[in-house]
Amino acid sequence: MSDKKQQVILQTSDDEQFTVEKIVAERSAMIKSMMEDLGEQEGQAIPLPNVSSSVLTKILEYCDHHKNEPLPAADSSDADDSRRKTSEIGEWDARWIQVDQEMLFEIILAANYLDIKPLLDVGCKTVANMIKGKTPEEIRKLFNITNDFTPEEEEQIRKENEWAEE
Amino acid sequence: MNHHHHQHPSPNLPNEIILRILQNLSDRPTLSACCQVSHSLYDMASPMLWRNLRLTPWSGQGNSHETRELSEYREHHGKLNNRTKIISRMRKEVKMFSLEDHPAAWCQVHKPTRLDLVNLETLRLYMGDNNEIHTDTTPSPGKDFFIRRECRLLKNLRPRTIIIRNYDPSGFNIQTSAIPPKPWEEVETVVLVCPIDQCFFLEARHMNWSRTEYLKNLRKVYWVFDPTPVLPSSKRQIDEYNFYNYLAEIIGQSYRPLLDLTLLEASEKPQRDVEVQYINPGCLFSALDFFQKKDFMERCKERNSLQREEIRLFNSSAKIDNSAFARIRDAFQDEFQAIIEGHLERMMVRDGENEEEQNKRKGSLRFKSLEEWIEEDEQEWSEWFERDEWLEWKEYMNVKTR
Repeated sequence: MSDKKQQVILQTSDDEQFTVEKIVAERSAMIKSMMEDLGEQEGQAIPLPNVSSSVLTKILEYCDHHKNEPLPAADSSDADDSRRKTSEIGEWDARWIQVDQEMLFEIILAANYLDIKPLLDVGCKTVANMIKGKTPEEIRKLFNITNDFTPEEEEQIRKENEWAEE
Repeated sequence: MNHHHHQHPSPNLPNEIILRILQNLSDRPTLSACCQVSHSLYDMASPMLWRNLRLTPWSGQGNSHETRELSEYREHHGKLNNRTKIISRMRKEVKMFSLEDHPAAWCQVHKPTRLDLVNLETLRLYMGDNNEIHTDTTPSPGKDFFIRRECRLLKNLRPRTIIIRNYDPSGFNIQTSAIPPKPWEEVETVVLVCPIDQCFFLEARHMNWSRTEYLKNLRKVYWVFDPTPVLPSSKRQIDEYNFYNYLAEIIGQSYRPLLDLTLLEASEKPQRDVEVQYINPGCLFSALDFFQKKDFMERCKERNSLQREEIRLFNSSAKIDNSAFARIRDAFQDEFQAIIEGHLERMMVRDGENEEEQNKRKGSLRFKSLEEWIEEDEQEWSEWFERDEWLEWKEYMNVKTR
């Protein structure tokens, strides 16, 4: 058995190459299916044009830590959605994701691109916790969204929500 | 000028990801804030906000049932006058509607407008004192005496699931609760959430929760025993009522009508294929007084249903850890199950049911601990209860009351 078979090369947007254990890289459903497409072509690097080396380094830490866990089913059903909603962020994950906002958003975008569902959930939950209790203006700032309401619309929504708010 | 101040901006997240983030939010103030951010966030957050509509005239929430106060602000804004525009916009969004007990004047019982939530799935009712949805029984104009007026907000609703939470130890009675008959017509599932210290058995004689003529489509009944102590005076009530002996007497057949009317009512009539689930009956152990608990421990010893270790721990003054406590609860759940099944059997023998029918109906009873329920039926409870709610339950379960 050669060890090479168990490894895969990933190439980031800034042209860095990472040699990674197959079991680690397979956390990404996207890489997994690319590896299946590429077959046994040794030494062929998988290009990841949407992921920078600093983000990939961080994400590989996550994948390495979770490499022995069962992969989530390819087609996540509604049942998974409700589970997703109610489950907590694990202790290790919570510590691992303590990064600045830029990195956090980069991780989320990369998790989405690489199709690592549990990581995407950890990221989204973390952001959800961040916006808890924030004002509309603070949320705009966080997501870099411009207010496109007219003052009349704003007033209308405020009134409407008075009713729904606790 | 901070022209030279170069800052790495965070990347913008696409809408599909923002939606995913918002799906993790359940608290209303934050969802409401999201609605006010921009058009696109409004479109995502608004349905989530209206999905669970909750109307209450009370300030404060949760366990403070006894200490809560009528909020003037709420009272003012909760009124439905001049709100028809909003109602028409959100009426299709609401899947769950929670209503707390309120003065009849608050829902403006005399007005003809009704709440018409066409896609409503679940109705949650928080019953007040005497298990009324209206906190006051005001005299009707022109009539000499009290007429219970049906709550206007409920008249047009057709939920498939009704969840009833009651706090008053007098037990729940549909007939006197100001809930109009219509909302029951399409109900398939009834979830009765009762605090363990309610001692609902004791008032069961006056209790008739299933007006069967209305519950034509009833398929499932859940008794969910809420371990959170609600009434500050509960301690006193539990000591007065000899709860355990009471259960024991039920085994001894003497209080048969009580169980017929309460815990097993659904399996009696009119259709007998109703499934009854008892969630968390083990926590009823906490409602026993010290001697009742001791008594129970003795029985467990005789029947070997608890290990010596738990019994020793219980009899000593040592702190009982959570896992030992969980085993005690399990043992009590078995006890509860034996009582209920034994009683069902006697009912069926009395009615001359054949063995096949007996087995079928016994099979329609389910007994689950809170953990099992949380583990196995997430789809159900996550629709019916807030996450914080059962987290709190779990916490209380581990508080041992001696």
